[in-house]
Amino acid sequence: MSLAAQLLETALSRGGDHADIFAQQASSRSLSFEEGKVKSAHQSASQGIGIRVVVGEATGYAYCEIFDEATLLATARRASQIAHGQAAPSAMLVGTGLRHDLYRAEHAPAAAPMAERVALLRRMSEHAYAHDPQVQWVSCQLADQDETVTIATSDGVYATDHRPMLRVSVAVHARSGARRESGSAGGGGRLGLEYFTTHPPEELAAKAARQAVTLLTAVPCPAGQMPVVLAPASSGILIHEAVGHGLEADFNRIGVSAYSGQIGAMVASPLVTVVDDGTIPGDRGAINIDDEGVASRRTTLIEQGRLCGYLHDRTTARLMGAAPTGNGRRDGYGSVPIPRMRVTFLAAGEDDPAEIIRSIPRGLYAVSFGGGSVDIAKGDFNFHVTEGYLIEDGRIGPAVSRATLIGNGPEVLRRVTRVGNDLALADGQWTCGKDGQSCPVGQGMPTTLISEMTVGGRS
Amino acid sequence: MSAAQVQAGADADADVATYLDAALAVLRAAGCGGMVYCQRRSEWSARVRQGAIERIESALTGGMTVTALNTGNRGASATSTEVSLASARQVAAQAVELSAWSDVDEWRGLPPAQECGVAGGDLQLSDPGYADTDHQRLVDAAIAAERSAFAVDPRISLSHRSGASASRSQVWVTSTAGVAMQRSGTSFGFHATVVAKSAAGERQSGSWHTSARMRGALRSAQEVGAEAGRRAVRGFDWRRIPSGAGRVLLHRDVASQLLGTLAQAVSGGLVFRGATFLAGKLGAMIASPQVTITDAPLLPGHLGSRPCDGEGVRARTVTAIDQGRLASYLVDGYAARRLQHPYTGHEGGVSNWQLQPGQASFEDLLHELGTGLLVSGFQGFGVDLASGSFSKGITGFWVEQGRISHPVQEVTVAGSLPQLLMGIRTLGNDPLEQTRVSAPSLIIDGFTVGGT
Repeated sequence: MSLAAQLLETALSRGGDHADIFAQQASSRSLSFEEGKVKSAHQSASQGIGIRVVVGEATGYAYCEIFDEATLLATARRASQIAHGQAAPSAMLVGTGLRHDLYRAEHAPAAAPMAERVALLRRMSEHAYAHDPQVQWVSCQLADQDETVTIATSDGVYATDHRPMLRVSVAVHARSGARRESGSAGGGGRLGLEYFTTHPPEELAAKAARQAVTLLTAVPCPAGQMPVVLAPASSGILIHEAVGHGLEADFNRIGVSAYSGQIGAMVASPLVTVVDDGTIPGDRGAINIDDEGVASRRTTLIEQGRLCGYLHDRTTARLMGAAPTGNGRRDGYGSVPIPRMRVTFLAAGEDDPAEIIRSIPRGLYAVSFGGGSVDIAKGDFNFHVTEGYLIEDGRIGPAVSRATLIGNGPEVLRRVTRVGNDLALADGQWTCGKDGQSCPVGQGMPTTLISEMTVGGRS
Repeated sequence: MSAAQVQAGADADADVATYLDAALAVLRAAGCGGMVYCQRRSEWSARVRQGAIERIESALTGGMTVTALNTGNRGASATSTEVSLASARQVAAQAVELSAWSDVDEWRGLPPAQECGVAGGDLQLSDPGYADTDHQRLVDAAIAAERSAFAVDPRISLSHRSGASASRSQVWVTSTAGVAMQRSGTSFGFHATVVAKSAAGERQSGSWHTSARMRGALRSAQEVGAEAGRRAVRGFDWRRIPSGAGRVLLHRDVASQLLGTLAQAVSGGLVFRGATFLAGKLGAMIASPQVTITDAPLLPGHLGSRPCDGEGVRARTVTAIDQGRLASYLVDGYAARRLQHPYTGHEGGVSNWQLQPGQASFEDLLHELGTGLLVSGFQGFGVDLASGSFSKGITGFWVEQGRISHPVQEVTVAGSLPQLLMGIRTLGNDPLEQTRVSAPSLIIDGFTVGGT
């Protein structure tokens, strides 16, 4: 703690409104299982310290990977170059306890025998191959990380958080004559191998294999505007892209988001309540504290259609006169914290999911998703549907080929006409990218009807 | 180790060489083969907004990766961000220990010495003046670019993510098969992203950039800013268009993105997994005869140039698609052995991946399109290489009788990559510059357009 105090003092030696230190040590392991055998194993260690000085709207940031005192002090001095004034004071560091205890890693992967991890992947692989003779290739991966971050700030916070992460994934390639298709599935969270007691490896294997095999006989997806029913859980990608990013305060502070200046306004159908919650135990997007030492919390962004707040880091909160929301997150010690989502979802409504589908004469039912993205200024977003079905006369019909769906965030949120009572959170496999930084996030959705979206199909 | 396999660059670091030797010694002592990869990087970047510095970042980073090959070619690797003697030994020991858990894989191994080495002589990858870089000049350029963008149109008043960067990296590769390679390079760049707001309150953003290995090769701030500004306002007063199918003109920006997708589709790792629609197509006509695509790592001063790949395999120019025929995959050592394909030096992906341009000017292409869709931007991730399915949101322009009529948004295009490749009709003479993946604008058949 005394070295931290010394570094903060050096960081503020030319002045500044705020300084902080982010120290991170991480070790990770991954195992890949392909063609029925252990293909490779990998182990990785990283450590680094990032030092930041904030002066008004300007930030100086420097980081290094060597923990000796001279290098650290030089790093603090480099960060301080942004400032040009008299030394600013730093508060006495006080060990700060954590308000939350959200991670669930009872059976830590690092402590588990390698044979146990191999056995899990073998089960997964064998099940995917056995699913259908058209399955040609299965690759499975199990990765875990142990990360310890320590945050010290010039306003006196000194907090440490140990963050576990487990991620499992399976990719399946299937072939029928000249036609090739692929499927994938994944899951995990801030937990240990006990994940597999509630999520047997066979489940993910079957999901990926089903996707690939179903696509082999899928009909072309239609093109143009039509009603779209989003299935529960992973469809939360719509909320993430259509509204989540647009409500990150860095964009709104400088007025470049389609949602800038809209606080208090109706920005969505009254059926829409959007929440970003960092406190869901074990979820991939859960954090006890954010990467600036602010306690995690549940933040309501849109309440029955009305915009009530943005996602803040400390800088945007200070500059906009708002309370921090615990969304200051970063890729690692090599990156400055910026406002990021945690677990973002559309709150449950009251409709019967089956009734929602029955109400559609012709439309698309979207179940599984690849990536998505958004143009912040316009609010135009897209996501890729990797498993979808036609809805014909109120019934789920044939599977359709992959297609990208597009829409304008504010417009699509006004077209939310039915919301089901079946909110579910996606299994933990999503990673969000922003400004070149990756962050693990979660998302959720109940069955939801969008009265009209543009579908990028081929028929 | 022969002399040809050593490039003792002026900035060779004797300490790093010691670490590499120590890691190899650990591998040999354990009876393992293997490879050590080490990199060091210094980077600096700034972000500016509304004429002022918003953020300055600087860093010195590094990393070591050791790949161990145990008996039966059982492979594993370990990595650390710490570049030191102790770290080298520890990482090598971890890789050895882990490799015992991998199953036998006959295709694993090291590239043979005759495939390894450095090629191309002086590729002009490093700016000799890097150490003396005046960062303030780069900041000034980003601010000047922003100012030039604002000057384009009064509706442009917000800056967003403009900035500049400079970096220098060194890479070392050694193996128990006697390979020892070093390469280094610098890069510089700056960019402007601005947001325009219409009278109706609609926002549109535009960005442009310049990047080069030599600071002197950067475009002017005025040029970068003016292009960013032009892009920010070009989409206003857009309309939607009806769904349909037909001929489309892809601007070089998006043609280059499509070309980037093809680089993955011909990568050996996907071929032996059956995960690309081009698996099993070597020697077949897979594109229209106008299409010739090469990967050219030896172009002096280009961003993607390199003397060797990440396994130390000597860089060479590869024609992957020759007048429509699939002539070569792009393989790393594993894929080369597994597919019994000649080594191409593609551990780490493509270098300078280029679709050879044609004769037509952009005006000629507009004229040939006649009435139809010009696509200038792609949105989304909608590509599946196994099936060849392609589906993306787009921005662009409607063209009437060879002249741009109005902007188009909220439209999708979809197609099948095998058909689209065959549908490439006419290539422009305007290849995208200052990029590792470069295509000219082109006219293509086979897209379905999803609109109203």
